[in-house]
Amino acid sequence: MKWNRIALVLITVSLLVVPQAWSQGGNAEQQIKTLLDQTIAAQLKADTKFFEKIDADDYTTIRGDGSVLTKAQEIEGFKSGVIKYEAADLKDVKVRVYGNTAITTVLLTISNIRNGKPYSGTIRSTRVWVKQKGNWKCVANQATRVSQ
Amino acid sequence: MKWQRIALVLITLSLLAVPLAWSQGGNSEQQIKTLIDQVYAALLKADTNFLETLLSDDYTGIRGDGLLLTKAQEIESVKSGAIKYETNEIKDLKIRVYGNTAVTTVLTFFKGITNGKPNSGNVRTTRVWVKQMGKWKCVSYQASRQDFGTLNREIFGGSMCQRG
Repeated sequence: MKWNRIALVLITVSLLVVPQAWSQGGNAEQQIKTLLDQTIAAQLKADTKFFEKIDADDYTTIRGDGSVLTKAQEIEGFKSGVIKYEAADLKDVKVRVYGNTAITTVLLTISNIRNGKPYSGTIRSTRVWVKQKGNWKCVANQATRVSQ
Repeated sequence: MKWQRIALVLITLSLLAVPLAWSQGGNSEQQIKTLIDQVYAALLKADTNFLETLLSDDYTGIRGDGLLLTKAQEIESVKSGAIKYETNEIKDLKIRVYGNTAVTTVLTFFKGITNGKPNSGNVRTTRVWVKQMGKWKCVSYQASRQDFGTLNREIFGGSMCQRG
């Protein structure tokens, strides 16, 4: 009777855990695609509240010029207008999911203002997403300018 | 008796899983640091056998010029000598571990030959590592050149960027 109960508890726990693992895999790609679209929209609107929420506390971004910004520094850049996007066209979106981690690579045509000067060009960007406490967070971003 | 056996099997499986999870967490940072050193050593020696085992099958690399390479293309570029490294000096390394995933960002000074032309400079790279069947694999790589560092200093002021 005792073993019977232990086995039932363990089977129940397994049944609860397995579908959760499946659901993360099954819908993760769509969730990440949505987040990517929301990220681009937030960049265009300089929606810093979105980045406060979506970026992990230890988020870092490596920009096309090889410099590194923390979460606070990037948000400050958007707030002050130093980073300003006017257009962003997403192409070649690829999403790979590894359990609680996802990697996105995109080709992005952007027009933006940097320190008052207009810039336009094509960049490739990789974002790394990690599920923390049930929510996807962006932990790393890197951009590289594509040679014309 | 039947339930007893099922319970014993499930308990055994749990006991096997827990130390495995612990061992991955505890030493991951050191394991990744060693792999980073091995990667740069392998690039200097054009050791494509090492890259074959280290890169995951779905690996993609984004080079400093924005070109996207698959695992096969990356290995071919090293094998053919299209990319040849003479110096790879690690100036800054940061490792973040998230369970079975690790993210490394590295600043290196490299010197070498790209498509027959001498090439050198500071490069920042991000690599993503995922533990697959108990082994760390590099699933993603991206490089950005620091040629535009002065522009960034104008924009943010010295204090806002971390530069090597």
